[in-house]
Amino acid sequence: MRRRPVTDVGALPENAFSHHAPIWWGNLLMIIIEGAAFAILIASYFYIRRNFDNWPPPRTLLPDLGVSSINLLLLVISVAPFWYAARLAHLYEKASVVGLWLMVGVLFGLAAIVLRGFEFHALHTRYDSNAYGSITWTILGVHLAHLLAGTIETFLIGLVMFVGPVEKKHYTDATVMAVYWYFIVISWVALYMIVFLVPRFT
Amino acid sequence: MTARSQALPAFNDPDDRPGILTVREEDEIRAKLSASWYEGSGFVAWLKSTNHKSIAKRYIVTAVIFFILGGLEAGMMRAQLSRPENRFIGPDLYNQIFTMHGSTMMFLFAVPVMEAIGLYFVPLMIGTRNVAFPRLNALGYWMYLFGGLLLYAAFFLNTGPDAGWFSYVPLAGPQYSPGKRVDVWAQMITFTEIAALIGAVEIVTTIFKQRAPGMSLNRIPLFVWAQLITAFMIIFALPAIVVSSSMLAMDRLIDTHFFNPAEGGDALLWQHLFWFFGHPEVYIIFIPALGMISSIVEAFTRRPIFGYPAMVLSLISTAFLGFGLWVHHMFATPLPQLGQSFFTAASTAIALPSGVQIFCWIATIWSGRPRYTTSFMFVIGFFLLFIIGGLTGVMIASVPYDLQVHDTYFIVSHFHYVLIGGAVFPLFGAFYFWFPKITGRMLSERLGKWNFWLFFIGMNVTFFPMHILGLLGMPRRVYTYLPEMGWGNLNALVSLGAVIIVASVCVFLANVLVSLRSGVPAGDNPWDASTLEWATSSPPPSYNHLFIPVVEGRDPLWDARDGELAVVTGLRTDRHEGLVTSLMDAEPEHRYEFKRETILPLMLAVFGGGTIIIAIFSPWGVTIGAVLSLIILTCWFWPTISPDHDTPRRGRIRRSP
Repeated sequence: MRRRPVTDVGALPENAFSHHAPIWWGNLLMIIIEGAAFAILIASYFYIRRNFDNWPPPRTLLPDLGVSSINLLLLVISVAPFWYAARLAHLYEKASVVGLWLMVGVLFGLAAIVLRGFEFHALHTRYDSNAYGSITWTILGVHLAHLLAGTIETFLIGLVMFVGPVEKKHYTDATVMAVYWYFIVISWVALYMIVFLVPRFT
Repeated sequence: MTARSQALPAFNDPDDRPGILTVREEDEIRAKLSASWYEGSGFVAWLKSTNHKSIAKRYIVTAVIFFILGGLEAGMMRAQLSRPENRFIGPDLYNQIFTMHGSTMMFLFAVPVMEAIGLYFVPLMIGTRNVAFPRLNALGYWMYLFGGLLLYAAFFLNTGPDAGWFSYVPLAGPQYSPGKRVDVWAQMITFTEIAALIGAVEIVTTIFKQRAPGMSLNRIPLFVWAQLITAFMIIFALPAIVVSSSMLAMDRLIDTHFFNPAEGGDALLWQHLFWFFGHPEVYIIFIPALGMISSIVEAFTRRPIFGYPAMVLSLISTAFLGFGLWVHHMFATPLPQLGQSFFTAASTAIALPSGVQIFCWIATIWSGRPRYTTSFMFVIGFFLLFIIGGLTGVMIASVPYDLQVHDTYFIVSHFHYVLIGGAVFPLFGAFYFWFPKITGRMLSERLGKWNFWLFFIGMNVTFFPMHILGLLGMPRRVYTYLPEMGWGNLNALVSLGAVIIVASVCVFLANVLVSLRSGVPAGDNPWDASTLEWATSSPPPSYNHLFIPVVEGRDPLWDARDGELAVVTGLRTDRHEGLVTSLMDAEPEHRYEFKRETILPLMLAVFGGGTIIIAIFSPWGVTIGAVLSLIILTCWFWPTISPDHDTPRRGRIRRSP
């Protein structure tokens, strides 16, 4: 079989953003996988709830709204530095500036992780007390794993932006990181409402 | 112009037809690509490989080894059940063996082998050089391998799981299954689910973004469609088992109460979550087989598949309906009647898209010129066996009937007809079809016919009498039965059938070994098939296609029968460069550098796998392993120094007018 060249792609760029980039799809699929896992956890929460006459179970206080609401607010605000870092990255701004805004995002992530520790106490139950404790601790714990992973990843990408060598594809990584962070925040809005608000409206 | 790019000097070659690459030009590119895609030789290079074909070959070989192990376990069960009150294996070992058989066949054979064939052929069929994330792909294989090794190491240490491949609670819970047997099962699941999800992400991204220019969605080969749809099913179904197996492990290891009714947990929650994964799992195994059948039927009837849009829509609707069936595994539990009716309707409805496909294949064969090769025979075998399994499936979709045969051998018979008939037969057809491409040699047709007929006869002798045994009331999962029950003769017949299947698989293995050594050389396209994997040599070079093809129709090689294949030029040859195209129409968008070979995936699998295994014994395993894995991941993410990154391309095709 002989080959007939019909297109020369040599002039095409070496990097792309958004849905043009394979890594954006890899990240989106990861988000779908983890979103499905959250959905299964939520379904389990409501399934277990059917076994209880009172929710939370007797002698268990309602989960506190104080620290959890502060953390929710913090996470919602944390979208801003990620959004800005992604915007700068999209414009191929100076790497250290992108890195700086990512590091601001890391600070938010760290604060959320610390507050998450207090949120476990605010549940007023333990994972081994009963099924209510098991499912609420697991939801908080799985989301904490996302916070940890997201914060560490953001830190690493930010660090690359500072010390390099920075290639164009790292700018794409920064924008994709922001998408993942939005997922972490949005999923927490839903999970917060379930864990902290649903028991109040039983 | 420099030597760096896939750019061509202008030659004055007498062989040069206008607009066609000369042999010398092609040889020059071939030499450059071979040099830059060479991954080294020796054991360490083998461990570091990130080429999708090397990874997929390992996957296939490993999965076939697990198929043999699972088959040996089935053989041992049949030996035990061949006569009443047999004392060949006791109840405890029997429980381990049937759990191992189910877990091996589902998690270590069927799902991985179907994905592996996708990981091998999808990039070749869509005309790209590697999967989108080569290092991640390698990680997937190592995780799968370690999961399988964990299960078998535990089994040989008398710690094999013994609560069934579905590990129903409370039997699998801490109270009734003390010890580590079920923990091993739960962690084996963790390994294999990671591997399967990685494979799915690879396949979706690769198909979405790396198709050859011109391969718009309506020109994707049906096998690739099947792999794409399966990958999406994996992405939506496996999180359920991720969550539920973790819950089971936590119930057993740190005293949570998800499935403990005394503390508000629920045993049925396990069944819902398990089957929300477990039923789609059946289609995760079955849909790739449908894709294989389309490839085989098309090649051996020498005509395009009849009703391409109907075929694609059938695959998609099978996948959708596959998520609405899980409760039919639970008809014997107290469910609301409305729920039972819904799931009966859905379970019956899924016969429709399967029927549409079977009629499309029949129309293709009818109007084509079929060649009855071994590969095609296995497809014919599929039609017969799958229709039997499908019909019993429609029967047990009905609640009253299901309650009668629930937990009897009728069910065992049903799902072996659909799994062996529906998936293993097409898979063997695919082995005969694609073996020449993978190895460069043909499998023997003579041994192949023996392989097929022994399998077909053995399969029916083994599983057809089970229908009757089930109707006679023989329950599943018992290690023996009393002579007065009158099941002895049929069971002896079933065991005889198992011997015939073993003989058939032995013929297959002999065929593979003989053909690897002295099979007829295959050439590029021994079957005169139409898809792009046949456009390159057999076995394919590490870079797959010398040039990325440009696709102008649904059957590129038949369209190119005048002997000219339209191709893309301009990709760099000095590094692993591929082309990214748009999602719908596959218009070229940008060039993309694939990651190169590295030891990091193996190291991450060792540390991550170590974490999962230590976690069976101590929750601290998670912490230690997380730190070690983080170190590896940091190396993984860290940019490698490439002095010429993002330099503008050098040179372009310059041809004499």
